Amino acid sequence: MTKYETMFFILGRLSLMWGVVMLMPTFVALWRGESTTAGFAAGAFIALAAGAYLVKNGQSHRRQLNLREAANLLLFAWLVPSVIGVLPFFLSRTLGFADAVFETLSFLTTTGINVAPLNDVLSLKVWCVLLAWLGGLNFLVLFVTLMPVVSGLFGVELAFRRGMNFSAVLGQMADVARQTFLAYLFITLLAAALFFMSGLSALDAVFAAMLTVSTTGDGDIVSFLTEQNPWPKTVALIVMLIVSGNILRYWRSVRRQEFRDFYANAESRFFLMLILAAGAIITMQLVTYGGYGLFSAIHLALFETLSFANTNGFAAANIDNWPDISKICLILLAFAGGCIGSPTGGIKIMRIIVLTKMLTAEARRTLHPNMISNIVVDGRSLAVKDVSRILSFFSLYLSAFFLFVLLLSLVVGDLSATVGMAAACFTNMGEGLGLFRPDAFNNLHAVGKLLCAFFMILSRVEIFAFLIFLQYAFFERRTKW
Amino acid sequence: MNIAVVANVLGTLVLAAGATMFFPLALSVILEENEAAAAFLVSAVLCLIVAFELKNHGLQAGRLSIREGIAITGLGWLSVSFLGMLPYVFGGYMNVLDGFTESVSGFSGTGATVLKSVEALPMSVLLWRSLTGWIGGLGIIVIFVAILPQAGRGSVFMMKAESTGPTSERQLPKIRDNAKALFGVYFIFTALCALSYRLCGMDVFAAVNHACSTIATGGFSVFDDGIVRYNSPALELCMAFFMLISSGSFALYLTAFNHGIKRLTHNTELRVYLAIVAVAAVLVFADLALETDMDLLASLRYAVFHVTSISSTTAYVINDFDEWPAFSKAVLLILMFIGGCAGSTSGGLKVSRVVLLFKLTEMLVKQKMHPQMITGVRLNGQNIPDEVMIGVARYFFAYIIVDIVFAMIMVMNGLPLVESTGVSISTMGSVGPGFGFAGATSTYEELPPLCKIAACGVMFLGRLEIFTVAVMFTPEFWRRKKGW
Repeated sequence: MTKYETMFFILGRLSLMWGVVMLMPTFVALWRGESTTAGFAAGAFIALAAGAYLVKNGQSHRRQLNLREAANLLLFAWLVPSVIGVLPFFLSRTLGFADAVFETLSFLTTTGINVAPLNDVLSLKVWCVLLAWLGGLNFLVLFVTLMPVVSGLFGVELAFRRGMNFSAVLGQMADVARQTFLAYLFITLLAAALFFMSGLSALDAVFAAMLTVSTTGDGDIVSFLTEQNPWPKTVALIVMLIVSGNILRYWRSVRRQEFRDFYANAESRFFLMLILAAGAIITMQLVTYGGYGLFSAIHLALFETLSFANTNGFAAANIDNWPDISKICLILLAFAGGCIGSPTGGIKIMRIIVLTKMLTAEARRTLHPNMISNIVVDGRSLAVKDVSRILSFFSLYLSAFFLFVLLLSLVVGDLSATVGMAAACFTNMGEGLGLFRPDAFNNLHAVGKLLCAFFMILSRVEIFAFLIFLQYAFFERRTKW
Repeated sequence: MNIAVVANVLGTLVLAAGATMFFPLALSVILEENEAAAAFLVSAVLCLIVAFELKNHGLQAGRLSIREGIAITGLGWLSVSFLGMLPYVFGGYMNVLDGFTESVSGFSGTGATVLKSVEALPMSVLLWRSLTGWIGGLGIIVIFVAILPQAGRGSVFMMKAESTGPTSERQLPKIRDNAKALFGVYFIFTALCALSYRLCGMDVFAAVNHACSTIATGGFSVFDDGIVRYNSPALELCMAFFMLISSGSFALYLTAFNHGIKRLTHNTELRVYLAIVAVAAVLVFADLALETDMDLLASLRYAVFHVTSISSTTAYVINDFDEWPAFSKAVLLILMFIGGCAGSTSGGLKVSRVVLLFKLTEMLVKQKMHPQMITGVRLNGQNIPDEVMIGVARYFFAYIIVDIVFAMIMVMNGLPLVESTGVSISTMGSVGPGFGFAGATSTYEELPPLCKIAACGVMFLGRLEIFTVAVMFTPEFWRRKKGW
């Protein structure tokens, strides 16, 4: 038994799954006679073969993960799908290397910036949507399986009062993962049904559902944004509201029939409050300056607010011309993100709550330096350890963002555009609000594309886990005692 | 909270501010600037009246606690800023809002001006501008404690509330001796700075004014084009040197003076700060040399000068960095954010906080990997308690929030988004110029009134490090009796 067997086993299974999934676009390409057939077939074959090889080598794996394996897995669980995702683009010669990497990661991390010419190639569209949907799922599953082991939760445990079993044992991980998958699948099916009823064609409805639920929000693949029919937007609004919440909490609430749990917690309430506040500001702006009627302004404002808060980034047609104050609200919402346990990007509401409570605590401490003041969320007081982790997470998040802006400015050349592009990638929303031109990513230098791809992954892996990976990989090869 | 005691100390403080006005008053009389002389005289008299009124209502005896310390510091800064604007307003040089902004900008060491042209001002008013910066630089409380007799026991809280950085420690056993020594160091540096400017070719008046602004890391100039008019690399180098010095901790210089130069070279914060400046200078130099058509020497000159000028939050400008490539601008923006060392006259987040934030992360990673390990954070060989670490991280969050709120206020007034963020970071870091509408070559003149008010608040928050001001807005603070 070698030390990598557990990793081989899990990554092999992952690879097999992606290989099977890739058969879908392969058949689509075959059926439509598209030029990408060979690329998809070869990609699927490689993924399946690699998966089979890895699983075979990992047969005698252990049943439990240690921290080092978990940290490595957390990164490789993103790298393996990335490599597999690049294959069809690259093998079918649709895109060059940097473009293929960027396109794959932008969908896998549910950012949804499109640089490939998807126009009429259905198989590529299918693949992009699948990447996005499974990317969202990947994030959620890792979030409840490996992340608790590696990053010490960083606020995850706050969202689950009881009844969630986070552990390093593989069997229990699989159990949590299965629950997550079912909840995610159910919401997607529900969304697809609603979209279909709202008047989209079956295929569009499925696409729209998968993109909305995974918080990808790419306007190139689904076109309901520009259409007159208001119902698909309303459906999207509802679906976005649902997936901004804690998906695992839904699962548990339904199972225990405690439906108040859907909204009766600090995180959901704070999120709703944020949405309503930002929605009100934007509505006011739209009515005053945009010439909208009150009802359509509310509809549009809520739609955009939600679309940015859950980092979907569906942008209405003339959003680039909105007043700057609306834009800054939307960008801040994207940085805040949705609730813990949702596939959204950003910092996450729970952490924002703890951070804001921290401010009043610090004011109290200035007045009474020896006072012990606890942070209480949902009636539970937080340990100092958790508090400092969340604070550290915030500073890491911003440091990484600054670093991203700094590096990206080398290839972009304009500071405003750089900040916009960095924000679009780092929060996984993928919309620039007019800070950069729509074709900015197409014209980006290859180095810039790879840089963006790296930071998109980084924001998904979460920086702290990445640091632990680095620490193991480079600094602590052996235990010293 | 004992308001009578606070009033008494404030009265003394205001009296001191009035007394300071006699320097520019004397200058205006000598130079026969009658209008300015009248303005200063009226302001000084007004100060006296306010001071006596406060003293009348005040109470000499009484214990100063944290509350009173914070109240004196916060209200002291506020009242001195108000009184500082009087000469501008009475002389008819600015309206009330502009005068107040200019005054706050001076005392907080920001050095942003609301005037299109400063050369129109009489010399005595220019001296007053520079003096406000100089007094605010080290801190009005420190100077107050150092110069006035009987500052009392509460001064330790006042100095704590005013001092910059995560921790405050004393170098000398008595707080008063400490303040005196700090003031001495500050004075000597300013004198040396003025002398070297004179040697580099400035006339006496300009040298004194620029020295005051440099050591206080303010950035006021007496010329519209600043020091570009001298076009002297020697002067710029000299300036860069003094800006670098004044973004180091004055308390540390004191320690080094008492206990040997090793204290200086072994100080983590100072070393990190110098490293940051060096790396930033090299990066900007490379960027300028490669991306623009400046020759190597010019790139080096501009890079070194602006990196020290921005990172010390002074913001003297010799080349319009608004025209620079995005990378250099991003570097400058990050420098504005970080600022200088704790205990210096510079603004920003402070290097020691940045160091502690990274050490916190390092500690958390270690804790995760070795759960049984006993971990802690040390800085300069001293253990930093958990409470202080968390305080630092909280301050970071609060700092960002203030930045965002100020940027939002500017955006609401119709200013462009990303530029507003830059100006917000620069104002909060008490730097002054940002990019774009309040960039290197423009001033705060064009800010809408509401933004000027907000800018005053932000400069205030930035100088007193947020929480000192923030607690004054809690009802608990003003309660007369303690709750227990």
